[in-house]
Amino acid sequence: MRSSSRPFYIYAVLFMLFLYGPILLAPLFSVNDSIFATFPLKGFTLRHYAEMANNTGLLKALRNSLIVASASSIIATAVSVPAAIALTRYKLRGSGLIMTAMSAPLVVPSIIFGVALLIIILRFLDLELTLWTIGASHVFISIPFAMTVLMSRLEGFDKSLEEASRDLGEGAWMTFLRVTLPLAMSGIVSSLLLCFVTSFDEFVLAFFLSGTETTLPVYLFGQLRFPNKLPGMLALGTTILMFSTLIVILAEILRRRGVQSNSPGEV
Amino acid sequence: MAEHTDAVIEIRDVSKLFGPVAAVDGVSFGIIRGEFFSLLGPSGCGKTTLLRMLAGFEQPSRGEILIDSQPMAGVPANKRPTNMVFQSYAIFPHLNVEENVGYGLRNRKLGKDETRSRVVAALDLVKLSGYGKRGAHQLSGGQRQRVALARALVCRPKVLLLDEPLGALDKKLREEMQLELRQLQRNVGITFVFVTHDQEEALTLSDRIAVMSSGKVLQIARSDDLYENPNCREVAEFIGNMNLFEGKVAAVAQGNVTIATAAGTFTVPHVAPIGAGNAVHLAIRPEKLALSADKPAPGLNAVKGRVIAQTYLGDRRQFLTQIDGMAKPLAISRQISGAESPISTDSDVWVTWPPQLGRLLTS
Repeated sequence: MRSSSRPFYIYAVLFMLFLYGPILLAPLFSVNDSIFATFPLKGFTLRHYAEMANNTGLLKALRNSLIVASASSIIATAVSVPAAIALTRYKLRGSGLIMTAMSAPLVVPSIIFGVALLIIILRFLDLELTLWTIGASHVFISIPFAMTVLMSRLEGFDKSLEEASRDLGEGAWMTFLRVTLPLAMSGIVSSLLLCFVTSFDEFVLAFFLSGTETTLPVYLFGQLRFPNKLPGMLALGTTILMFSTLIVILAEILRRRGVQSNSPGEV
Repeated sequence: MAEHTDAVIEIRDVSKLFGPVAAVDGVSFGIIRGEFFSLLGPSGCGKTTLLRMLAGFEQPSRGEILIDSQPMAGVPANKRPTNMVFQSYAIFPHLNVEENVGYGLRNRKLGKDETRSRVVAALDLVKLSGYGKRGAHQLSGGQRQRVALARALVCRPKVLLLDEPLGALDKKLREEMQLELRQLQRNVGITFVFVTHDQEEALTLSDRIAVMSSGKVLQIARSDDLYENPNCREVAEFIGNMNLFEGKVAAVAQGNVTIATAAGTFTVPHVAPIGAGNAVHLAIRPEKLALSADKPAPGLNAVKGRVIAQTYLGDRRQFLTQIDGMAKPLAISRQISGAESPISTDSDVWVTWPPQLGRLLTS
């Protein structure tokens, strides 16, 4: 067993290096005391991180990103909760089609999605490009994530719990408030976090749909034209990376805790 | 239509179709106020569907259900005078024991003190006093079962519906809970409708039992009546063990019927009119058969066979006897008193029984 599993082990290590190696270069050069992202390394510094705090353009983009991510994650989750309940609780005709349609944003290239939305917003709706237009597009791409998380949570719990509530005298709405919502809460929080990260990291749609105000990833891209800003942007990228990773881990912990609480104790 | 004043539930020609399949197929009967009534049958016989129609989770495709003389068509589960104990117990995992039990009292316009005292009384009733603050996940299977009972009883339903509530418990706990359940039902005086596939459980607990198969009710009777006088082969074989002789009616006389079978000719009591030549079964329980080495006295039904196996069961011994002309060996159960003479395997024996202990089954 041991000897035969060795090639797979080596394969797994190479695989991880290939996946994460390039990403790890960003944190590495962000603490390098040089404006050039090249080897050999010059020395350790946190200067690039400290400078971020004084960069008003960056802070403004950060504020915009937080607004867009908060709003779009709340809206995406709010519209997904009833949809997820409908799809898990009732045998709907064509529910498979609905699921496939909802995951379209996962497979349609963002650039096509971006161009299409741009045409709709400018030509048909005649709206200006603002943070709202970015937020709206982020709601669309967040919905598949919200649906996946919420449905796995709702499918996990015993349907007789809702029947028991009806049996004990509560109507549909109070059953939702007293049973379904509390039990789905961990899924809802984890959906909020995932949608937040999805929006916070999104570049292509934000690039197409931003007007004068822009989000952090678009700001970061704009700054790459200036070679001397590179280490600062690497520091920014590293911060975003760590922040996002933290949130995704948190969301996963919450989701798992939720799934465990479905089967309390032994019967 | 005749109103039975003592019937708390009336089921009138109720069917439930799932697509082309009839889960419940034209069922009619009444359940008497205060009785412990069981729906017994193998899985898929429609007993749970029938229970869910009483609870209001399913609507009958045909027929009507009356609870307390009120038609239940269009009355949702939350407006019915029934409460249910679910097979999975359905204890709310985010609430503690007290909150679970008090769940159904919220919109009954009771004062805080009244609610509290009813919850305490209900917990007392199921012997869970002092467990009020426990979380749902801190309870054992038996305790969860009790919480589910208390939660339903606290609402003071006219009918308590129980969907195989003891199925998930181990044997010893299940027997304890059976006793308690029976005691509880006598104490509270509420009508219990109990669904089970376990015939022993149904016989132990029930005042009356409805045996179901393929969506139909085969027989409704008291436990002892069901065991002693099954009305068809299916009931006879489902409740306990039963030996069956296939044969034809040879002669009819004075409340007795003579049946010709491949193993011989036997007499069995039968009052309803029946013609000679009809294909019938003679049914006889293993404990009603006697074994002896000597040729029996006249007047008994007797058949010769060979003991092919015997099993010691502590209080009794089970013999399997091969009869010439029969595919299945006869099962004979004999109480062990210590006085009976031993019978060795492979010996030739006579199997006998008084004619009045056999039953004639026409279907």
